[in-house]
Order: sequence, then structure tokens, then C-alpha cells
Amino acid sequence: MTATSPPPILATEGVTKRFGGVVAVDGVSIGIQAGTVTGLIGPNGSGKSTLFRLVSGEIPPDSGRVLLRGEAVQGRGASEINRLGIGRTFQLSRLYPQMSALENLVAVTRAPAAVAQARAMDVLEFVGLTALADEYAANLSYGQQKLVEFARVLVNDPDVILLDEPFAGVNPAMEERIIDRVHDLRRAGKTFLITDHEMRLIMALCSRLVVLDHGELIADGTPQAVRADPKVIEAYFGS
Amino acid sequence: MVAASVTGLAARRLTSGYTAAMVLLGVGVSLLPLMVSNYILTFVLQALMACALAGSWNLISGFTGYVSFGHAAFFGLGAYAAGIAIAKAAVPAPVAIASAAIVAGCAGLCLGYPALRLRGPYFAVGMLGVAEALRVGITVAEPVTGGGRGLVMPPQDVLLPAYFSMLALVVLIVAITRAVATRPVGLRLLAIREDEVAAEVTGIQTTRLKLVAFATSATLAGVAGGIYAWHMSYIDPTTVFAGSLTVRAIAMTMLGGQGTVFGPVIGSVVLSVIGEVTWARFPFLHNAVSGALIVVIVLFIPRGVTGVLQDRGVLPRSRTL
Repeated sequence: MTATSPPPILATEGVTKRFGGVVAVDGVSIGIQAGTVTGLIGPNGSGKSTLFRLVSGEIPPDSGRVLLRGEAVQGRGASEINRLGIGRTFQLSRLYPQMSALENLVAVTRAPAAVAQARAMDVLEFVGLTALADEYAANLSYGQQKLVEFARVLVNDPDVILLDEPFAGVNPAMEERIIDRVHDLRRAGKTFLITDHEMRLIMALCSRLVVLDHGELIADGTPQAVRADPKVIEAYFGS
Repeated sequence: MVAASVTGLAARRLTSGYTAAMVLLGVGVSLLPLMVSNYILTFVLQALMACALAGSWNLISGFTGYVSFGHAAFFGLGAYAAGIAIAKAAVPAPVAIASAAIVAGCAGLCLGYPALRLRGPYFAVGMLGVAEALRVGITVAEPVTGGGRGLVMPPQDVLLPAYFSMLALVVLIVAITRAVATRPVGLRLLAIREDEVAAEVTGIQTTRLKLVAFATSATLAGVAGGIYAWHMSYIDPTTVFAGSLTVRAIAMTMLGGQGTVFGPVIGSVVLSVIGEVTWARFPFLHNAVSGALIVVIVLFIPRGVTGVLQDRGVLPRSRTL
């Protein structure tokens, strides 16, 4: 990062989380600029999901800070952090199964009750799911569930959006729809942090990649630079 | 998958028909005193009381999934608050019932704050412990409560006013439930039941919502207890803190459909009638029926009668039902 770049919208400073004897995330510092799409990659068990949970406030870090617009938010709790403007999806989508797609959005929207329904329909339209609005989440296909969950994040218009494996188990048509929407939203100024194992899509989507291995940050740069980084190759393929 | 679903005009007609049937039931119950004996009125009053307990339990447990095994605690507290006010201070019934609401509501806030940090079975058992501890506490506080011998109030014939008060309480509970269920706040409560972690991550203020729902539920159960004490002019700890009160409320709500508007009403009508038919011949059977029924419902129809009818396409999937 150069000295002239604006302060990051989201940053972690030396964030560490231990589970028993395992250091899941080990002193990770990342700064993310507003209006960018950053990929968070690494082998299984490298700490990506834990870092997501730390940033979204589901778990507090043991040490280090999470900064949103320069303000420390670690330990605030998931609900408050969401209200401050960080939304996330889950690796295995966590919709409310006994609610319709529409209700999943209405339940979380902070728009006034009178316009909640209309706001939710607008967002469903944005992700192309108007036809399924009244279907129970439990009856949707896996890909549709992921898309509804994405819509549920968008309904409160967060500045920072974390997508946890958005492409896992999603068919190509829907992959494309997700990619298009991410590009639309990035152009509108939204900031993305995305983790996925689908390198082809990550490379296409992200202007920058950060790589975790055993909880440590081992590389940070453009997709091309990261792909050529010996440490990354070693982490993925072993020496 | 859903076999069939009712949509559009048919759904709206069915929904209004169903609601109209419930309103008619309410009108019928309110006209009953003109037609039937005091024996039947007393039975219906008991059914209304059970319905109030089921409906108030539904507000917290049916919607948020925080299954409380100690709901009788608030009924008991309300009964004693009203009972003591009547017996010791000779206050008029409305004041006694208001004090029942206040005591039970405050207890709901104070107990809910720590208890709602527990989840699943820990909350259920924790609340069971709370109810038991309160029962013992009331028994021990003999100078004020009359202890295990019970609390005697001046006897008065208040069957009709008590009947209409309990009916009004049931109508109020249904109205509150309907207002909640048809607004986003109802979906937020259901979201806690469906996936509390996801609810928090999507910005739902789960702690505050649970506490408000719990305190509201406790207040309404306390009012039921207050009306009960006023009507009976005698209460004792074993009766008003009875676990069977909670178990019946759970069975009724589950039978009708948790987190629905009229589910507790349907469940309490069905189970009260079954109870009335069976208890004369088999005095202990109706408690066993409640217990067995909970097991059967949890295993086979977790969404209750309302859910079954909705899945079969007989009723639309409206949150107003």
C-alpha cells in the first residue's frame, strides 16, 4: 500500500484467535480499500472462516483489533457489527428454513415496517429471484439458497460484504449471476471480501488476493503476483 | 416438497373464512353465559385459562423456540400477587389483577435477563428450576402467603366477571400475537427459533427481542393467575405453580401450531374437551394424555395442526392464521 492511498474501510491489526492449543488466526493484519473486491484464499484449515467470524463479530479475537472506517469494532457482537455495515454469507447457507425467501429478507431488513416488503422485493429482483419470493427457503435448491442469502445481506445495504464460498455447489448460470451482481455493487462503491476454492472465479473477480496458511498471512498482492509466489505454491502443493 | 399450495383469491377467502370462524368462536363463548349452566361456564373458564397460558407461552416459546418448562412460575406469581392484594389489602379486583401483571412482568424481566443466555435444554430445565424455587419460596414465606396451607380470600361469587375477564385476556393475547405475527418483528422472533447465530449476524437484536417477548409472555400469564386467584378465592403453591399447567400449555400450543396466531386456541379447545371427557372416568389420564401428545406431536407433526393443514394445501401459508 502506498502512502497516498486513503485509509482502509476495513482492517485487521494483528488479529489472533486460538482454539485450545490451535492458533486458528495468528497475528493477521489486512487493510481493505473501499470499492474493491479482495479474495481471501488458503488451503482447508488455514483460518479463512475463523477470520470471517472474527470480522463479523461472531467471536471476539484473543488479541488485535478489527477496524471499520478506522473505528475499533472487535468484541461489539455480531448484531451490532452488522448494523455498523458489515454483512456476511455463510459457507453452508443459513437461511431461516420455515420462512419464504421474501420473509427471510423482511425479517432482517431495517427499513420501516410499511416499506419492508417492497424493499425486500426490490432486492430479490436485483438477484433475479422474484419468481421464488413465496417459496419456503427449505424448498429452494442449494444455489438458490446461496442467492437468497446474498440478497438477505444486501437488504440492509452494508458497505462491506463478506462472501464465504459463494460459488460452492452453484451451477454456472448462477455463478455468472453472482459475479455480475458483485461487479454492479463494487461499481456502486461496495467493498467485498470473498473466500472460495474456485480459483478460476476468484482470479476473475478479485483485484487483490490475500493468502492464509496455518492462520498466518503468507502473501498479499495482485492475483498474478500471488499465483507466482513460491510460498503460496508451497502452501497449496507442499514442497 | 409441498404437495399443493393455496394461492391468490382462494387463499384470501380461506384466510378470511378461518379468521371469521375464530371470531365466531369468540362471540359464541361470550354469549354462552346466557345459555348454559354454571357447571359448563366453570369448565369453559378453565379452558379459557388454559388457552391464556398456552397463548402466552406461545409468544416466547412458540416464536423464539426458547421452550420454557417453567411458565407456571408467572401464573403462580400473578396468582399470589393478586391473592395477597385481595386478602391483605382488600383491593378491588382490577387493582389486584394489575398488581399480578406488574409482579409477573417484573419477574419476567429479572429472570429472563440471565435465563435467556441459556439455550435449548439448559433454558428449559433452568426455567423448570425457577418455577420450583418460586413454589418453595412462596411456601416458606408463610406469614405473607399462608404457606403450604394456602391463601384464603373472602369468598365472593365472581364467576361471570372472572369469565369475561379471562375471555378478554384471551382476546388480548390473540390480538397481540396477530399484531406480532403479521409484522417484521414476528419474523425476527421466528428467525431466532430458526437460526439464532444467523439472526445475530444479519443484525437482529436477539437479546433485546427475546427479553421483551419473555416479559410480555410472563405479564400475560401473571394476569391469568390473578384472575384465577380472584375467581377461586383460595390458592395454594402446589396448584398455582403446578408443572402440569406448563405441560398442558406446551401440549396445547404444539398441537395447534407453535408460532401461529390461533394454534394455541385450537389446541386448548381440543385438549380441554378431551380432558373434560376423560377426567371423570380416568382421573389421572388427562395428564398422561398431555405428555404422550407432546411426544407424538414432536415426532410426527412438529408444526402442529396448522402446519399439517398448510402443507396439505387445505390452508394457505399465511402468518395471520
